[in-house]
Amino acid sequence: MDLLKIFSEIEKIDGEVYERFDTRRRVFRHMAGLGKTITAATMPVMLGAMFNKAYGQTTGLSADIKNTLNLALQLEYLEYYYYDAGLKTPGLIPTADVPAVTIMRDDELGHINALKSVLGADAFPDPTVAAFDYTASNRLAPFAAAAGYYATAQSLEDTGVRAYKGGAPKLMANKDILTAALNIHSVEARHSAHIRMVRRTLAGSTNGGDIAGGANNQNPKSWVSLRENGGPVPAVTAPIYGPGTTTDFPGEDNVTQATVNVQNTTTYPTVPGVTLTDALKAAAVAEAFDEPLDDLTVKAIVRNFRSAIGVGKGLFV
Amino acid sequence: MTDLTSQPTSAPAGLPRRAFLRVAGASAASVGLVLAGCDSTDPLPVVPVNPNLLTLGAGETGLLNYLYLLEQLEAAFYQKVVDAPPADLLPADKAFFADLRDHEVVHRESIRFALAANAYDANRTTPLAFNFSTLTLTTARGCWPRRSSSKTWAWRPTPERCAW
Repeated sequence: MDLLKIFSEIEKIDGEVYERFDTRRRVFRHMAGLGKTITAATMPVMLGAMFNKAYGQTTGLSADIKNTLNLALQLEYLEYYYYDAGLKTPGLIPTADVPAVTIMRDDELGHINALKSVLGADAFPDPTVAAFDYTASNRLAPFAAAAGYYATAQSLEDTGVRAYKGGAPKLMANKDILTAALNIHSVEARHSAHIRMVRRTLAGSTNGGDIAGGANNQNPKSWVSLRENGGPVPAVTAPIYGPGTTTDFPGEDNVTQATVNVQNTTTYPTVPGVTLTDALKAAAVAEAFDEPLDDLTVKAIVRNFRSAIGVGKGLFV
Repeated sequence: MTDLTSQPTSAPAGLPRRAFLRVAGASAASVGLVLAGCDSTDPLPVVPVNPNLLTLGAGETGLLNYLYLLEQLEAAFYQKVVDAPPADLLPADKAFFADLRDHEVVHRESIRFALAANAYDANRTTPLAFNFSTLTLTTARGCWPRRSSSKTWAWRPTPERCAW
């Protein structure tokens, strides 16, 4: 899921990473073409082939690269075990949506297998589901009812989408990698849109969602709206929609793009029966642009989901 | 001509070509295009005499004008649905189209602001009109993408249409 972040982290350690990949451009052309339809079956083959071709053999990876890939691997385990635990909880996931959750889980498994194939014997050992605390220290209730389950799923997906976007500028030196990463990035955003639709359906919503998800973010739009009222459980989820550690990473309610306040550049259409207030304009402008998030903030968010066992195993350090 | 193969990090040579093909396809219903953005090394084109030809410009301007045109197309489509929604369009679906229209309008206006006098239509007295007459926009089914197969859509149900 954090493939883009992997590349950007590797770049810090191995400045020649793009040259390595660039000499094997065919691999990336293949990858770019697959981007829209990446499946659990194709992903491990693709990623494994890519790194093996770039570095020859896994034993050639430096310790720093291994550490970077292992962090990504831990994030994949977090997500895989979340979807897997949901599917193994009888009656939790609505029957009609079991196929969708199964696909998302299998996607994560594909990512795990891909990273393991690259790391070989150096891969972070499977931490098992016991390493994770999806209640975030009893602040979330993901397995009691579907509403809570999808609320946390949305939180994980939205975190991933912002993490991908945060790494994009670091990938601009290699358009093949950037293209491949952005192809995956948009798929993650579609996952989030699906989950948001399911949350509205579970809530009996018929209005397509409220600005910022309405009260307690229980009626989210299919796209990120302002700061989502802090998400389903603000004590845990507010940072997902807030700013990062620098001004390069504003919160999702940001209305300034390329130093320009977009509200002032936009000619709004007239809406019959609707008085277009400044608040509505701000929401429309904020929704029209997503925002990136830095890796430090991303790691701080996911550390909420470690159990004591996970801490002991060194997850997300 | 510049040898692009020896400069892997230079401007993507393939994109303008794809852009050209896609814009040419999108415009088939109404206008012909002269697209000068196919090669950033080309000189600026002569302004065409034919009023039915659009000049998008070269390099970054050409790319932005291409995106601007696409945003105009999207905004116009959603505006058309919002102006005359099909009778069977659900309330939530109407809200979607209004939101999508808003987003595309914001994108369109942002890009136009960035282009300023370089916008391909900066000197036009009336904005470009799009022709959607080949689409059936009088039914909800016509507005949403068709389901190509039930299997494909099983995990991506049409919004607000879950059976449960």
